Amino acid sequence: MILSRSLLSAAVCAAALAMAGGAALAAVNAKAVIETRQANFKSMGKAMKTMNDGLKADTPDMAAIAANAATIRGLAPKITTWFPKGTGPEAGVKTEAKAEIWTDPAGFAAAARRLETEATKLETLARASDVAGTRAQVRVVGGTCKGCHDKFKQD
Amino acid sequence: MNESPTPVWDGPTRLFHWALAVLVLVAWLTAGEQMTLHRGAGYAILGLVAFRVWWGFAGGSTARFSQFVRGPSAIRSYLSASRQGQAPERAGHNPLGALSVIALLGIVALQAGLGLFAIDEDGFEGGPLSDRIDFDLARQIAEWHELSFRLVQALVVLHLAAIVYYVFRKREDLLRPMVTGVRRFSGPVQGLVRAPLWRLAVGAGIGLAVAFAASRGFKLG
Repeated sequence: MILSRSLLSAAVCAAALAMAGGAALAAVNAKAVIETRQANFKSMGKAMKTMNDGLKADTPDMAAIAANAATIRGLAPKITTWFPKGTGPEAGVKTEAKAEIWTDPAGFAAAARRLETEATKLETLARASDVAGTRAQVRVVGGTCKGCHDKFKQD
Repeated sequence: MNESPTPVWDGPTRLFHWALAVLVLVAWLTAGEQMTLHRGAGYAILGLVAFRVWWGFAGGSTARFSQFVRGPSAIRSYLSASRQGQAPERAGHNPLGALSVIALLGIVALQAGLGLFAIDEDGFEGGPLSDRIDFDLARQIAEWHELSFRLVQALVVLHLAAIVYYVFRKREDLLRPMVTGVRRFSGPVQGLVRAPLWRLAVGAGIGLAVAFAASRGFKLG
């Protein structure tokens, strides 16, 4: 009886430890996921700024602009994979991701696809050295960033 | 209150004051949304601050820094006289209010100056000097731009609270003179000595030049 009681408490302790460990592991994973996606969004912001700054010149370096457009075009289709369940506001890690990402997954995926489409157009225009078209399309791509952020990201 | 109205604030000082109030409000309401308007408000604010600094050296007597910026001992003696209801009536800022004027001018200039370098998270909407620095620094400055706006808000709240305090506790209406330019005192008080018109023209030129240069990112040609 005494033996089984101590066995029971040992089992309870082990279970509690396992749960705490699991929660800690999930927290570590959420933190890593959130940091990675923030770094990815940052490289898109950086690419956007580089294009905007470059397009201010009278004769912009269109190859460099196409390369930055390609960065955004390449990352856009991956966006939806950066938001696994458990990496939202409930993660306990600082994130500006709104719960709407998970409650409206179709809307979120559509917003990401819009970015992919517009970034592809941008890259094509830049490769064709269409300066005026690229300048106009950069504004469209910027608009898709803001459009998605207004809905799915906290200020 | 038997004295006739005495001039205390000249037209340019009042116009500066109300234009700044409106532009700070516009900048606040357009932030993060209508960025073309937001930038325009910022350039105009920089121009206004430049004008006010010029006017602080060359403007009407009550606008001049030398007339109202005082040391800590002057502030202390004003405070103790004021507590006993014996602060002398004067046209212009009292030594404590002077601190508020300097702080507001400084923080508003800082706020607009940071905005020149700031960029949004999308790397899309930025100040005219954001192309001189990299994305990370421009983002850091954007965060300072948001923080310093909290200081602007705090100073504006303090400014408004002081006006309410003067109305209810001291029976002094500070608002009306900032609109009409004149105030009634209970005894004779040295009123405003106006500056010649050419100095206003020079100040307007300085303000416009600064606002225009800021809008162009200080690039010549």
